[in-house]
Amino acid sequence: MSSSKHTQLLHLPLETLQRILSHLATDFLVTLSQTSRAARSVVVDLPTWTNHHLTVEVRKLTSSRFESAIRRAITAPRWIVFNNDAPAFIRNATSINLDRIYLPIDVSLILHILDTFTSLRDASFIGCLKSGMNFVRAAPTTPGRAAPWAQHLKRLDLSDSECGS
Amino acid sequence: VDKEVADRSVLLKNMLEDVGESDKPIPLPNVTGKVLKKVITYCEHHRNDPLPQPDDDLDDTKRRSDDIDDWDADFIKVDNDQLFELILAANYMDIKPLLDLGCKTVANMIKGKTPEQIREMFNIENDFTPEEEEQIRKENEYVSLPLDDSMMLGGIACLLYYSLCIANQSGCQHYHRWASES
Repeated sequence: MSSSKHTQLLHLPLETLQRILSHLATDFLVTLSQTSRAARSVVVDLPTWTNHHLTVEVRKLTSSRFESAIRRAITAPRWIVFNNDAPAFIRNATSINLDRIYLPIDVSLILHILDTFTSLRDASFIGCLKSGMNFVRAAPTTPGRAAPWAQHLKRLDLSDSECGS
Repeated sequence: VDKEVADRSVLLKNMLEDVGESDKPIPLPNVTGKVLKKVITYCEHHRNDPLPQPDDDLDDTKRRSDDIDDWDADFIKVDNDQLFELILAANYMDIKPLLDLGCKTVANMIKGKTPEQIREMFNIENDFTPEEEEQIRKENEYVSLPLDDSMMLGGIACLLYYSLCIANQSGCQHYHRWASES
């Protein structure tokens, strides 16, 4: 596809633009917000931040790239959208989807996320079943571990559907 | 165009129901002939697909953008101008699957790109002030810090912020601990 001077992404109707952005993971939204003031404004004003689905999508890449994407998704919205108000960010993150295929997800990362984002209602960690099994083994070993996040969490998906192992 | 094909558009379906059995042409002032031809091609190919349901938007799996089938992927290989015109036409004619296809395609174009690549692709002018550029540079610097530096800065930030946190906001403490560790 070629670009042309007539093409204006940011001139699309706001509702359409928001529909496009609904397909972007949090770290890609952050990147888009760094292109111009208008783009930043559109990203910051997304209605989804009031009920945020924190998503990280890095496929077939290294663990370090994935970790970097998570760090970006976790830290950048706090500054850009929530004026460095961490509790507000935590309250608004109601769903998380870490979508990494072919790489195992460390169970400690899953537990960190659940311990941190205590308003989560839906958590999906698409990776290898091994982490899910480790999670099952690790979670009950710490007394009271589930208490903070079990309050709101309705769905915890540790599926291995696309891993093929 | 067959009624079955026209019915893929909620706008046309409602208009056809309003006019009943009539040979009168239905005006579509917001869609050019070239784009309409493309839209009809899409609707003809998908004439037998199930119609979208009102609560489809609530389905989390619909947020995925990697589920575009081969025919659709080939169909949507157009230049950016035509892509945006198709999106606008699908929006106006209320053809949700085509609108989703266009939106997913644009989202896929953004994924994995740098801010500069996105600007170039969509002709976005960088109008940040030097101060705003500096702020963005700092944001990027922080998230790409080596673990040890990140921990140190995160720890300082945590100490400063901790005094403002109410004790029962346990998530806040966890967040700072984690933000500094990652």
